[in-house]
Amino acid sequence: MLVQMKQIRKCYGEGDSLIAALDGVDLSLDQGEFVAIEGSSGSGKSTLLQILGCLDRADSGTYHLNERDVQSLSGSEMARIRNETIGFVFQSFHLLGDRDALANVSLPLEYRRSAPPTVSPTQVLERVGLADRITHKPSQLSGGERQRVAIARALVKEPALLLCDEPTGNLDSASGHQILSLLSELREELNTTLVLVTHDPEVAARADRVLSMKDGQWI
Amino acid sequence: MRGLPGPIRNSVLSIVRHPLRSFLVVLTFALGLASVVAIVGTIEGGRRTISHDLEALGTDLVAVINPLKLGSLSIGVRTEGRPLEQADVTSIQQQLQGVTDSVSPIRIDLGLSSTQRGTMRHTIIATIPEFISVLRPGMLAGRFLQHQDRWPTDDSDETPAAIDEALAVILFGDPVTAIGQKVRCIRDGRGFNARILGVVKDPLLLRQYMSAFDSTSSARSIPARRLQFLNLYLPWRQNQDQPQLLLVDAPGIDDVEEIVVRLEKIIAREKLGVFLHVQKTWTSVVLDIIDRFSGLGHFIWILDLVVVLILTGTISLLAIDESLEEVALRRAEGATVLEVVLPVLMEGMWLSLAAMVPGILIGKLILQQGIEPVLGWSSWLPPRMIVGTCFGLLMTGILGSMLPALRVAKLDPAAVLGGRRDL
Ligand SMILES: Nc1ncnc2c1ncn2[C@@H]1O[C@H](COP(=O)(O)OP(=O)(O)OP(=O)(O)O)[C@@H](O)[C@H]1O
Ligand SMILES: [Mg+2]
Repeated sequence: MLVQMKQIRKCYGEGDSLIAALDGVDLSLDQGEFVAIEGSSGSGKSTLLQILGCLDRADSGTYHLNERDVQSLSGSEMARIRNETIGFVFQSFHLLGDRDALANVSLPLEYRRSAPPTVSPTQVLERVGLADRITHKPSQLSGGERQRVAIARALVKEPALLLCDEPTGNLDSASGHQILSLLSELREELNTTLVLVTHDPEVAARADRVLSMKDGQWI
Repeated sequence: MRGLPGPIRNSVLSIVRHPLRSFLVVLTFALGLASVVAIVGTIEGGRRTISHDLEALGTDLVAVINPLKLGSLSIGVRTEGRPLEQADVTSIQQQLQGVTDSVSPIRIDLGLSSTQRGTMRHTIIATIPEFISVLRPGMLAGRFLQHQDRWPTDDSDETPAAIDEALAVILFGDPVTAIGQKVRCIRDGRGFNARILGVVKDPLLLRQYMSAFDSTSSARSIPARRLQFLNLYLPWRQNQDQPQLLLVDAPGIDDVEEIVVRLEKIIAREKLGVFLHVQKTWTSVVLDIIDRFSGLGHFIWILDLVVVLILTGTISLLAIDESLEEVALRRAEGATVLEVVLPVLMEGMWLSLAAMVPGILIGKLILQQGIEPVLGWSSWLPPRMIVGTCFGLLMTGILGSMLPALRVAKLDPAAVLGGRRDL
């Protein structure tokens, strides 16, 4: 069992404007599983991914990742987990605009404390089909290519858990399609656990499980 | 580059990637440092010049004055007893040997001198060759009286003499041409001829600076004229000249105290009735005023660095907003808070370090080209001041990065990456 979440609660704001973005969520994920999460806007999907990705902490509940109690970890221990265990792919790619594809993919390795991964940034870029785009800056790449760079950046860490928050949200349907195929291929190749937030019913069809969220709870 | 530790590499890369911004920050630092250097250099230079001038006037002199001969003088302590005599001079010279530069008996008369150019009333000083140590600025031309220079046995022969620069100007025009010239003098009702051996350089360099400040001011000429030195120096006649005062020249201001104590003991033991006049007192008053002046300099110095701090702090605070997305991403990819804060602090540090040498050079240029020609004194940058200023600038660089660093430290990466933060 890679992920075990119980009764996770996360609130924003205070007083009258208090919103429970997550209101008692349970979640278990096995190694290599592909889970799609859907739900209307504001239902709490991104909040869940941030807590899963150790970018944020829950207000209450328990979260075990690889048997470790995440709630009790310090900030730098969480940073280390983000670096070694978790890959992020965001809707708006968040590439560094003044650096080329290779430098963007190499970024996570700057913060590697343990042994370096077995794959090199160049190899990962080749795997996502950007062998001839290695020295291109983001402004010289198409939307689909940018998202591939972002995926390569996530995969260079060889993460156990890959979190994608609407990765095709900013892409046209053709390149969105390619990205989704790439992600599910990679998931099978690397036996990575993939959590993908999407509104696309087709993606949901490829997933092992589809979870729906509403007002911070599963439905 | 690759081998450097992460925070250092990232701080350097951030500087290289924003050349214009980095240049502006370095320029701000450099100009701030330059103005501190200019202020410190001017004040310290002034202080040194004025102290030097005071020293030239004899800051470390103790005078033992016979009240019988110079009764109107009322500075110092009047002791009860007999006047100072030649025998006392010899005994004091022996007792103070080693702790003083010179112990000179002096006879002062008001005299009259005439040359083709005119006649002038002035003071005539008879003293021993060792008196040269009191004349700090030294000789403009020729030499001072030496032991072989004695009064002639025949009255019609010439008496060797030295002359003050200002008096030489009046009597001979160009002071340098006074060497070897003859002058007719009257002292104590007796006429004699003197031959000029040397011209004593005017110690009052201060006067030049006063006129440099405002050449149209008429007020300046009053103190300037009062401070003119118009002496003719003649050889001391052992057993014939009566000492009116004894000038004890201490090696430095700090030695004055001990000499005074010793002199007071001698005066008490010999039951001398003399004034003891210590020059150090008014010197220290002047130095005290200059110290207050340099205290003001320190204030401006700090104010200057605060202005630099605000300017560079604002620039880097504005600049950091640009990189918040990058910071958030780095945090998501595994950077700790420290790993994103350190480069921000280091960037300010590098930029202030980069500004140090240019800042000091620009400051020196301002001093040499702008300030020295106007003030007329040479600037002086004490090494500890340079070190202090550079350290202050370094601190300013780090302090200026504090606010952006704090912003980075407080950043919630989830909010930025989730697109909930307006950039
Ligand atoms: N930092 C925050 N401060 C205040 N409220 C927040 C914050 N983050 C999330 N929320 C609120 O929590 C709720 C869940 O937000 P979340 O971003 O998780 O929704 P979502 O399911 O990802 O929506 P979308 O499909 O539009 O991305 C929303 O009502 C949102 O307004
Ligand atoms: Mg969302």
